[in-house]
Amino acid sequence: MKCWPMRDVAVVSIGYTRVSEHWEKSLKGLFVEASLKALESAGLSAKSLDGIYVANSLSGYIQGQTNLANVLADSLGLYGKFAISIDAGGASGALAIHEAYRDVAHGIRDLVLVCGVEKMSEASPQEIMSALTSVQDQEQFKYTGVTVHSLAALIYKAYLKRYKVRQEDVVLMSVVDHEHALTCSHAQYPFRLSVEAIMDSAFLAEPIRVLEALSPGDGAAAIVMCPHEMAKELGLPHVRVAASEVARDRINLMEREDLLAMRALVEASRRAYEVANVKPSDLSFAELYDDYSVMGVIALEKLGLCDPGKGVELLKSGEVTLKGSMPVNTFGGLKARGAPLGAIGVYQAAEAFLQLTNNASQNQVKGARVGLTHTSCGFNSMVVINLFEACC
Amino acid sequence: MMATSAYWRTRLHRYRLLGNRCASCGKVFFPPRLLCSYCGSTKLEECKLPERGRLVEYTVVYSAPKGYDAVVPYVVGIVELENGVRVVAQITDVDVNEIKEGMEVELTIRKLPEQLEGGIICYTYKFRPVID
Amino acid sequence: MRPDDDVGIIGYGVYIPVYRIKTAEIARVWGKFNDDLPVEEKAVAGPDEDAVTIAIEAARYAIKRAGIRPDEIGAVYVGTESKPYAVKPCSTIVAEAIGATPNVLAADYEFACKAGTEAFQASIGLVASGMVEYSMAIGVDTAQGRPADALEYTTGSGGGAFIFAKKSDETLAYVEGSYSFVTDTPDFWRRDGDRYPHHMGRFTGEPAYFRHTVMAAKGLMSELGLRPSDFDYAVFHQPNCKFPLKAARYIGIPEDKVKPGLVCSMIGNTYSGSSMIGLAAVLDVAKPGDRILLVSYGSGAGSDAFSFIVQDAIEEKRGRAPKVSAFLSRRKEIDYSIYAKFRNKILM
Repeated sequence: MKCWPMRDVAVVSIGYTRVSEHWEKSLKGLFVEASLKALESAGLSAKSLDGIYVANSLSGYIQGQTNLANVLADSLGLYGKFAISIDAGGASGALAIHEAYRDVAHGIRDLVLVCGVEKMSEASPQEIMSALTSVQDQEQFKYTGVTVHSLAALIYKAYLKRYKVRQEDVVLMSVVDHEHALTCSHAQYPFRLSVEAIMDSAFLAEPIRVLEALSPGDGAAAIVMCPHEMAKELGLPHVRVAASEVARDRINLMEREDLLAMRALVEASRRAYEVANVKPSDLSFAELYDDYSVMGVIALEKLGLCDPGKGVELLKSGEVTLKGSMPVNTFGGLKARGAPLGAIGVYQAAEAFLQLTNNASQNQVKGARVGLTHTSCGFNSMVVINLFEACC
Repeated sequence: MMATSAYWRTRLHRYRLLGNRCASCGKVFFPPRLLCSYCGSTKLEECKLPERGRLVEYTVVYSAPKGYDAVVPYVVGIVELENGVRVVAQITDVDVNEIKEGMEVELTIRKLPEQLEGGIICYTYKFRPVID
Repeated sequence: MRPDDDVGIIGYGVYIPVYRIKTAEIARVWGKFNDDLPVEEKAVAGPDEDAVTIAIEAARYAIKRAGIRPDEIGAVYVGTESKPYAVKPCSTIVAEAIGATPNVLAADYEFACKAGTEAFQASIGLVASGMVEYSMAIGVDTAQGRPADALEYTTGSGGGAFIFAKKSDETLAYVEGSYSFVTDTPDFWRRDGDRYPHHMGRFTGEPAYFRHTVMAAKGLMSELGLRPSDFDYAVFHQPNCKFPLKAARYIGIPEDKVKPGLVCSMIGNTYSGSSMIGLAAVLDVAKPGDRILLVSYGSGAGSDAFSFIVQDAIEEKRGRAPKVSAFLSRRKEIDYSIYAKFRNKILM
């Protein structure tokens, strides 16, 4: 079922924190910082909002904080308004945007703040491992010792075997991420990374190296959404939501007939392209969900940016850099900008906003007109594709 | 935390490799499902899976989840059982440099490093090389 | 002791963990001389193994040889002195895992190294009385040796499972009779809460092991009207390689009848699993009509002696599951550091 809007929806402002280990900031602190930045840059007060969506995945697990949207809404003084928590693992942020988009598109609400917030620094690496694995079906995996890293490794090996490519070329995904993060002021790791450094780093689950997998971090990103007409009245630079599509696949990898098919990613992006009336080659940039370098490579293919098995060739061609014909992860992606899990989709939206309003400074893709963001939960068992367009 | 009852609820599928089969379309599921995800039928019959299979893919895990620090590295693999159903599980009793894709493996019940509240020991399915 | 109805073994199985540590390696760490080590190497339970997991493995192989459905089993008895829980039976976990629950008797037995044959006696009585059709008796251990102590050279891990049924063409060996000799003799013990056992050194020899094994064997032969030469094989509890041979000498049984069941040189003393695995090793090679003497020993102290007569069914059934020799040749050598890590000897 496609999401055909009854009225056009705009993103009218953004705010975000740097992705980092924010020892001095709590979930609340990160949330308020990002949300106030977004509100202030639009000249809006919190009271003017109809309500908020809060995207988060792990606060219950790590901080013991459930009921998050309700708790955080209180810190903005939002009384009489709605507050809704959205949890879908790494897809939380984009899914929250999808919900807000649908509300505004169908005339249910007018002014909605979407904020993704996550704080992963206060969990040990082992707890992070268990927390990340908690998005899988616990009845399947709870008492087995199987982790998401091991599942990713099985996908990785299947990919290397089928397309006969070298891991050294797959990890270029992370090299590109880091290249783009050099000039990104909100990136967690704004430094260069070489293939050698990646291949020398410790194994997570062989063959996956530490330096080619998502970096858990703390951060919050917020966007304000409203009808396009209102955005024009406000007289602020804005972007239009061209499409927002959600699709599911089997969460049990063993039930998928082909481990590499990623059918939900193909389905959601196909529908998004159709609603937005664009082809993959029309995209000015794409923000991929590269929780592992191989997943980024697979995304290039499934999004139609290159043929199956040719993701590595596309990486090697250099066309995915900021100066190339198909820039991806323009601010560093999950590896270098960072990956506060539930907030990723909103960071991607904020970055798309910067690109499409010509505010991406040293990371600017020239003439950016339409951009795609891809988030996933559980190896594309839930995929959200949001397409944004420059306008006016 | 009701961890003990969650463990207890899933013990049969973990001790005996019990899945279920859709009586309408014949698809087999492991772990067992409440509803057939292919044809939607709720008529699912308990189905014991074969205990032998072939290792079709594997990885060596170095990054430990909670409680597993003392047992890394360990092997996780995809086992294709004799009836074609695939299962992800730890592979035990084998050196990381001896594992081969296509190895014949069979079911074994082993102890996990994680314990539940009060010290309940968790046992689960793993696979090990076949002994003839 | 003879039951009113004849009872036999309908299936048997063993399991020995894959890891081995050479006693020479243990000697290296503790600065002992290499000559006169009691066994060559011993089997070590891996980090994901315990008495329960070993019992389940042996039980599954026993069911394979028996060719019965697990839900037909009326009793599961596990004899061990390395229970993972002080209170909570191993046997319920084993029974659940093999599919014998819920209509089943289950209990754990303890009598140091003869807990397995205790389970034999109980199974024989239960089956002979007609209360159950099939009863499974398991002897298994992953016992610990105190670092640097003499027993650290022999404490090994392993187990065997035997399913008893009324004698028929399906049983592969039947029980001619049994005899138990028990006294209160404190040669070896472990107090509740203690990690490692204590033992009385040389007192564990003549007044303990030899007295009870010899008296049980003689008592059995006297009751059944048998002579030592009537036996084709003799299996003893194997705390080391010398004791079984010496006991056999006392009884008047030649060495070559003991050697087929002697496995301790390669796996150490598997405690409640010891005489089980020895019996299985003999069943792996015995011919129909052979008479086997089994004499277990448990510290505290006591011995159970059995006479088994092998039946025709052994020829076909023995091949249905891996033999003891398959487990003996399945080995991975580890050093003392890995052994200490696996056996939780490093306090964390």
